[in-house]
Amino acid sequence: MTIQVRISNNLERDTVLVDSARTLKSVLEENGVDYGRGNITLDGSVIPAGGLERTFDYYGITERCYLSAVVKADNA
Amino acid sequence: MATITVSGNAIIIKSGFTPDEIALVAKYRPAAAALYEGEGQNREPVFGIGVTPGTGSLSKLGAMFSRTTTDPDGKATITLVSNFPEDVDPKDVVAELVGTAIIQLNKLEATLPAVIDEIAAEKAAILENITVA
Repeated sequence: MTIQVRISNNLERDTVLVDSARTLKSVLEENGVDYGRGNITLDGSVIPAGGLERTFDYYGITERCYLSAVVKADNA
Repeated sequence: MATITVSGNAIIIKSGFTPDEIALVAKYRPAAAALYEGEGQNREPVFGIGVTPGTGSLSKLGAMFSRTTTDPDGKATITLVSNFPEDVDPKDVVAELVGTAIIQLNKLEATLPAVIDEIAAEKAAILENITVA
């Protein structure tokens, strides 16, 4: 199923159409998003360790979702 | 242009392109594998095309064709299943189910031949410069 994913990080956001059978990691990589730091959230819920290897189908996404990779800076 | 065949409860949507051609465009020209709406920052894809390991899917957001095909011409297909009420023309059922998506798919497919030719020319140029010693 084709789904619309709104990808964002601290600096920018983009909207892409992808196959829901793809993994979250492959979509982040394809769009140049650094998933090695900060929190990755899907529709506001934090993705646990290993969760990036799961597909959008696994998370029950059928039409649209927000996928964010946000680095929170520590306050001094 | 995509064609639709109904057989039993199956609806088979056949692309004008092979799965390899669609995968080629999605890989080398991802921007050409979608229709867009809006301008500037509000520009976003509204309908995309691609290939998938399953039987394929069609929705208002895109057409995912099966990576494999048994079509004699090798064209990519999507196989959907639907119930057909006895008192309704099957064509009306199909038009209601996939009509808007097919319109978008046809618009997108109309742009693909030029893109595929462009990629093929680039690929041919690369192959010309490869020497196997």
